[in-house]
Amino acid sequence: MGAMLTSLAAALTTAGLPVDEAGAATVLGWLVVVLGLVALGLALRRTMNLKIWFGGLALAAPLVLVLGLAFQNDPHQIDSPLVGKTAPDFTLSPIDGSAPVRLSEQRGMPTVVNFWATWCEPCKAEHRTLVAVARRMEGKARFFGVVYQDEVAKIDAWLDKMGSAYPQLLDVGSKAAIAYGVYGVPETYIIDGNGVITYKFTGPVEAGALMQQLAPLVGS
Amino acid sequence: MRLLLLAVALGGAAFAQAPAEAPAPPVEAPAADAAPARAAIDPSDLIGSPAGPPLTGAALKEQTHAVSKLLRCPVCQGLSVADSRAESALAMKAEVEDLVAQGYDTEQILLYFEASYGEFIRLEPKFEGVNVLVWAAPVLLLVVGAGWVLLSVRAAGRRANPGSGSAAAPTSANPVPTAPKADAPPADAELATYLRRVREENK
Repeated sequence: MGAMLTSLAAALTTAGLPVDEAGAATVLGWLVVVLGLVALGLALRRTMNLKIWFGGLALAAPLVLVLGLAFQNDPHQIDSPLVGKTAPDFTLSPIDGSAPVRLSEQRGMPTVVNFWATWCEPCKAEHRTLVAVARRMEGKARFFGVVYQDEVAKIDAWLDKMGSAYPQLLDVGSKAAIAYGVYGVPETYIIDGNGVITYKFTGPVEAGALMQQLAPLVGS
Repeated sequence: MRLLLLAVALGGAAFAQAPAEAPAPPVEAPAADAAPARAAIDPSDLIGSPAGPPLTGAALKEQTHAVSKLLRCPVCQGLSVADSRAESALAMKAEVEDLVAQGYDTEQILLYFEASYGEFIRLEPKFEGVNVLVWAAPVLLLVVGAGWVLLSVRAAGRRANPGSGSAAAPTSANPVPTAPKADAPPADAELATYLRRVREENK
């Protein structure tokens, strides 16, 4: 069954309807229902007005298919157009007042750029993950937090409570957020040693997924 | 039936009028003590040089508003950057104003944001690929529906006024005539069959 769904998904994608396995299952289920209704109409053709039955089906079926497929997607889970491109450069100041950090100078090892804010609830749990992975990958990968739409005082208090293991940069005027196409926080970008974005996490990162994206880049 | 249609129409109109959801989590003003960030994509890398002359004053405000109306506020539900008071939207509007002041035109600015955010940042889908359906389908449905209505009305008209045989009672298109009157079978064959059955049942 799984193999059939995979091949169906591939076939539909090449035919112009990009779907994953869940989408292929939806299309299959819809096809079964539509054929069932057609069969029902034919079976009851003496007592039914077939024109209304099939006419209504012809109008409703495409609508149901489109809605069924579309509602499976979260509109905020958007493929970033930046994946595979050079990460937009920025020069931001760390909140502890040390020298400004320029992203294009951070070549030679993979870089993780995490957009967050103190008013973001899911960022709390994610922060612990990032700190743990940052400590583990010390010397092998660089981590930067970019805080936007926030205040230094609040950020300081937050970090005192939650701990810190890497520089936190302040994005004034949300300019870096706009350059990176940030739809909300948290979002995390994985950048390889040549400055090319290899992956974008939308929502809190989980340790396993983060390591999966980071590990192959070490030594690049 | 008519009441149902009226209810559906009113419901649809009400739904269309409903304002989009209010945006944004609580946001704070950025600290004034930090050094100004320089993020940015030099626009010329992405969209080349400005297509038009730099704008100022009222023209600047107008064009900024016009372009902002075409951009989606990234943290809202269906609001344009022009309408949203979310900080992200205000930041984007500032960037739009910056680009308009330099002389970039609408399509260039849309492409600029599309390079970072993807096509979803446009409020109106581009007229290509599957999106053609979004634009074309309502027009198509209107034309097809109107055509269907016209044909149905004409067919109904033809049924009410048969071309030949005025010997048939004018009531031949209406349901059951009163039993005592029709001893001769009416011209409508279907009705004749029905009438015969009714008479047999009532014997």
